[in-house]
Amino acid sequence: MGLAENLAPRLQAAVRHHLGAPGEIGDLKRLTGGATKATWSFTADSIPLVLQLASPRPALTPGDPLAELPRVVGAEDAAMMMAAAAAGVPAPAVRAVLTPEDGLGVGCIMDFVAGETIARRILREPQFEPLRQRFAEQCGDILARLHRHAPAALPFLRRFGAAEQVAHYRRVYAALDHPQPAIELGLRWAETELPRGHATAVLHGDFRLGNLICGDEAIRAVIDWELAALGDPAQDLGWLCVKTWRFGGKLPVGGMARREALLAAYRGAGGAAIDLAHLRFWEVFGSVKWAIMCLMKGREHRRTGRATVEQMAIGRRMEEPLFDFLQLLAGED
Amino acid sequence: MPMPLSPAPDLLATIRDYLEKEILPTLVDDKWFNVKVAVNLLATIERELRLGPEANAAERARLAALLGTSGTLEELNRALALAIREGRIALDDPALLEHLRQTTADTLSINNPQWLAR
Repeated sequence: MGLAENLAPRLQAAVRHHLGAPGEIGDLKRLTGGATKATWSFTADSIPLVLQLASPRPALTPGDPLAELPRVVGAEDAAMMMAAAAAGVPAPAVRAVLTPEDGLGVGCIMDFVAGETIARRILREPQFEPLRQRFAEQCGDILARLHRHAPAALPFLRRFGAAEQVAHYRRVYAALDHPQPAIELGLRWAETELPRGHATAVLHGDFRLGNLICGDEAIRAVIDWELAALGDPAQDLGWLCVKTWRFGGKLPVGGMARREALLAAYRGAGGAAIDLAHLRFWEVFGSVKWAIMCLMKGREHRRTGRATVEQMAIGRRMEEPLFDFLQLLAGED
Repeated sequence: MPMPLSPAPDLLATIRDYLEKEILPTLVDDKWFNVKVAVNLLATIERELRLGPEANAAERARLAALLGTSGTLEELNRALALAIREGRIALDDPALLEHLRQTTADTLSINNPQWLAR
């Protein structure tokens, strides 16, 4: 698409329109580009900002279960981040929500938050030692604040509780028509062990290293809110413990802390009491879910007709979470 | 096909080595990232050529024993997936769990041997 060469002038016009004159932009630089969104950093009158644009989704046939996945973009994404910030969650401050007249697509302009998102560095560099010491405590506090937010204030969030979620991933897996006995076992396990009658809270939906901008001592911002939904609060805590998101770290909570420390911090910050078995459901199902996501990525080119090196590589990662899932079933950590 | 002077695994290793040592250091950002991923995938293909046939034969033999029937790898996997879905095999069946563990481990030794070493 022609956005790349038109980006600077259009962004310039959008900044003047939304943020006011002189709004001189500079240092425009692509930060990330992915299947769901792309981000650029830039300055406006020397203030560091970020432009976030949702990527158009590939055309999906009606009834395609992939089209059902709750996804929060544009004005809703911005509203979600503002609500999170108001609840005391560190989130980027939203400066403007783009409108169709901007000609940039669906997205928003927010404050640039300096820090580290690369898990490998956060887990290994000496400078992050203070952060690592307090990581579970901070995550517990952030999630307790988020989960206290009134769901009614965010009417666009879809209900995606345990039962809906397991059923959704069952449909996605079935639609891919690539039978995998280990995934089948994972889905049957999840259907059997489903947490019944769980509470419903505002969830981030993808709360893990990679989506946390970290300073040396504290989490500075929680980003990537497009999977926000209403669901089981234990999901956000369990996902953080999935082995894939430990990035080689030894301990369960983001590779840095024990589960008990996260649950105690969450409770201490006003969150509900969550027992280890309930947390474990989401950790085990999280592995199964990530395996289905890998399968989805690895098969995506068959639907879109376009293969990328990265997609194909993710398809080859499916056995990582499946191996972890089988180990968890066998009672290993 | 007669025995080639440069067998496929040797070709792949040479291409991978060239990309890794000569090309990768000249690249930045997304081009660096994608070539890095491609280099890793070439190593995966090398391992698949080396370990794949034996792993597939062993998986097929285990599946045939579990299901008491024969077929291609795909047919047998489809049959096992269906048996699990329909509850014809218990979720805690030790032979099933051992088969899945072995199959997943064998595939990881091709796709990402480091995962097993953690």
